[in-house]
Amino acid sequence: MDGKKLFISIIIMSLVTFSTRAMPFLLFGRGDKPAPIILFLGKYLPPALISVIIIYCYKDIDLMGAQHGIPELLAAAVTVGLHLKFNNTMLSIFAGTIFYMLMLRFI
Amino acid sequence: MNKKTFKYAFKTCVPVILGYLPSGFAFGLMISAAGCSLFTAVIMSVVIYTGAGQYLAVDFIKNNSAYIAIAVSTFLINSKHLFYGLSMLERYKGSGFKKLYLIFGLTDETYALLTGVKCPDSIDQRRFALAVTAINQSAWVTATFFGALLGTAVSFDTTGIDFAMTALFLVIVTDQLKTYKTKYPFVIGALSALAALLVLGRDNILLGGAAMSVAALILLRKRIENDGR
Repeated sequence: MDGKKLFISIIIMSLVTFSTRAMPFLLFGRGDKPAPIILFLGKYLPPALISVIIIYCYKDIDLMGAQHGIPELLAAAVTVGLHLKFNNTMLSIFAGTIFYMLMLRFI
Repeated sequence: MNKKTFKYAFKTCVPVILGYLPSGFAFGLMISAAGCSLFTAVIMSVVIYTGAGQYLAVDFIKNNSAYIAIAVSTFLINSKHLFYGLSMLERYKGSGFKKLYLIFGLTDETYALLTGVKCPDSIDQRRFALAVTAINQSAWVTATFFGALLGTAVSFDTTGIDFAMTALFLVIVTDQLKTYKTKYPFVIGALSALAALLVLGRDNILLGGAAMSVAALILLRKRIENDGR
């Protein structure tokens, strides 16, 4: 990405992020109640989108490649396993990432 | 800002600071591994200021993504913020630059602190909210600075550091699987993404997957609401 495109991209991300935070104040600042369908999506869209993003994170895996995606899947198991056991977000993320980096180098 | 308000706000923020330091640091490392300067890294944390969105930005920059894809994906990943404001309407009443900053800085963690922590009556609510928002962002920006500094100054092999993004989302989904009674949204999201991958290709997983998820959620609304009760 060149400098100009990077600059414009950062502005876009900044404005879009701010707009998601400002929207409720613009729409409901005068006391109108949000429609039930909006509340429904507000509750159930986030877990659906996180699931989409996780698939997205795995888009570059080449199952037919030299490692068959094994490091990515094992590191995921380590991350989730640690999180279930210790429930410590930072520990899970760091240990999972370091485990992944080590696997790429030594396996 | 008086000393008492700041001190109380800082004490309240400690858990979030401890979380923001390593994750901001990881963002700094990742963004410099993607070829960005220290200045760019810090500016991003100053003007964008969103954890998951900035992690995703690393990917956009590496893939040289189109503006429209960046805009829509950023919107979707931040869509949960659409609902945070609803519970802050009363508290953030009024206007002016301070309110704009409070809204700008309403991250997951700031929202959680401000709705979860009881502020003593002797402290001005609005000043307290402002202090919490500013302290949290300062921690995020500082951590980004040091991460990017290390990433650009020391040239070590950072291959694989971007797994931190995947790990973050895996942790989020693990927590959500525990809180949500109905598992439909997770299945819908995963299947939509896979369908988007197969039908539309790798570059359209986020957009296609999100669009199909919204459609499927609305179609199955009754069932999901019954299951979630």
